[in-house]
Amino acid sequence: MTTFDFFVLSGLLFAVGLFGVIVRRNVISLFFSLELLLNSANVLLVGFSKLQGNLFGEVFVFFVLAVAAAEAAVGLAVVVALYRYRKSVNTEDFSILRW
Amino acid sequence: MELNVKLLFPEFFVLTAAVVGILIDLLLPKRMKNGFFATFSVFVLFICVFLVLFSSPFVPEEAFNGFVKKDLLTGLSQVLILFSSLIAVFVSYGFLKKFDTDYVGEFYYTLLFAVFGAMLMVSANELATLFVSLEVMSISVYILSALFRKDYRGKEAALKYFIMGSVGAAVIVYGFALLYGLSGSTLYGEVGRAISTLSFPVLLSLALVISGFLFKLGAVPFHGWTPDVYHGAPTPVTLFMGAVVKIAAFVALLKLFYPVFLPLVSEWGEVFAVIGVVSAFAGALMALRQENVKRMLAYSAISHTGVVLTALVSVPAVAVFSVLFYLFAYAFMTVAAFGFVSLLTENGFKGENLSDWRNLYGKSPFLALSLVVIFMSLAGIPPLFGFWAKFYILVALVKVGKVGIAVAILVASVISLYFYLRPVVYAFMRKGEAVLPPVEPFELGAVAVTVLFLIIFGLFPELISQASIFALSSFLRGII
Repeated sequence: MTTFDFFVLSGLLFAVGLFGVIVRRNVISLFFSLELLLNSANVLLVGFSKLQGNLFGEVFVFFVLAVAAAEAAVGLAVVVALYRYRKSVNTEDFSILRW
Repeated sequence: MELNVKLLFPEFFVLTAAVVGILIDLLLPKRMKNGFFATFSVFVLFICVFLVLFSSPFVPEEAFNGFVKKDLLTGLSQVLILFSSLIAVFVSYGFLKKFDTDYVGEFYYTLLFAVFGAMLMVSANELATLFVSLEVMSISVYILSALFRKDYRGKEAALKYFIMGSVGAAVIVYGFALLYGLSGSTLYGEVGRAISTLSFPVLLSLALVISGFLFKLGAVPFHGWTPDVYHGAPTPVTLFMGAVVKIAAFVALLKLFYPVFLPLVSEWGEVFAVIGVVSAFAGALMALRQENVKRMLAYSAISHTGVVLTALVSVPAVAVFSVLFYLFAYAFMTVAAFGFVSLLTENGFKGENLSDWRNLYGKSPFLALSLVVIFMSLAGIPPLFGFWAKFYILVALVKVGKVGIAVAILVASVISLYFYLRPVVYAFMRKGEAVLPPVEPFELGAVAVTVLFLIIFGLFPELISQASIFALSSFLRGII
């Protein structure tokens, strides 16, 4: 795999993630898309790390992974708390705050 | 290049205090928690203000092999962050007495973690450090908004903020990955050396980093979450979001963009100016018809963010100075405004709407007068603090010949005068009964002190402008 392949792969992942964030209405699928967004950056970092021949990128990936895990934990906790009120995980049902 | 750990002593102090808070939380009975943790946080933040004041170097110093760089810009913004957090703690103390939650201890130490994140964010000198500290701050704020019992609104706000904030973070980190690929390093100085011309990869990374920051700041193309989140989150948390998160994001933006994208300063300056003008207008126009004060203040925050962003089109030195001065004024005004709303809020979210403020003057003349000071300062009426902030931005714009942008900002300010006057009209001229819950003395004291500061700094703006000039010269010393 060349660096260009890494770039294409991460670009595709980013596009899929962004598409998911915009289109999806189910909060769990939305979280998957968010993870995809973060992981596309990880793929890019690892690819560039290989290209540049130093480890800054690889270490950055660990930090991004840790942050992604923390985000997922907090996000799921919020969704569970919301589910108790609405019995649903659909973003359309969380809409008392508007305009 | 060495570790130089002592430079980060204030940050470590807050972090240790937060961890100690977790342990104490396990030992205390619930009825003592609010009082104890409020006192504890106030002491920690107060001591930390002095630590920052005594440890900020004028000549920039680096720690952790250049991952963290401190100068007076960092020191000054950290003092501002700590001051806003102090007021947030005072306001939270009153708020937690009125509204029930099972997580009193968690509330205070998560607040301390958020302060830690913000303090580290303004001193970061490396991409990964910036990203991690940004997320430490953001994740803590997501948690804070969702902690109150029987508060569906706060949890919905937390979810919305979480989704938008995470997208922003992912976009920023993708931009950082591209910068790393271009330069082979994540230190600001070395990344900056690799970027000289506007090639396609540089443009892409610049666009991604700018959009990520606009997500976090809540400026126009990505402002959708701001009103919902400011409205839904518990008022002390909104105060924290409005003041601390904004200061940290703006200062981090200055510290990232000037060293890294210095050769392209005219290009991204223009972009920020256009976005700023659009935000200033969008915020002002959408705030006109709001009945809920928190939502109105959220739109006004969008408008203020826009005004600050336009300053970046000016010469770097002038831009940093006027942004820093505006941040000072903005932090004091936001803290005072949301503290005031929290003071009047009663169970069932009464007291947040304009109609609940009718004839406030009849019930409490002091509160009504501080309302006038707060909202007139937000509108930028002389001789209050907000006026000088706007004045310096306009001077910065006119100096570089951007008279069109300056006029646009003036027009937006005139529009915003309408909605800043509405609370005053309600409080003084409308007949009715204001909602006035029993006032907590600490909360009232905190709001009164900030209002006093708004007047003092309005009369003596030199105090802040001198400090800003010191911070600016120290910052410039670091990037040349």
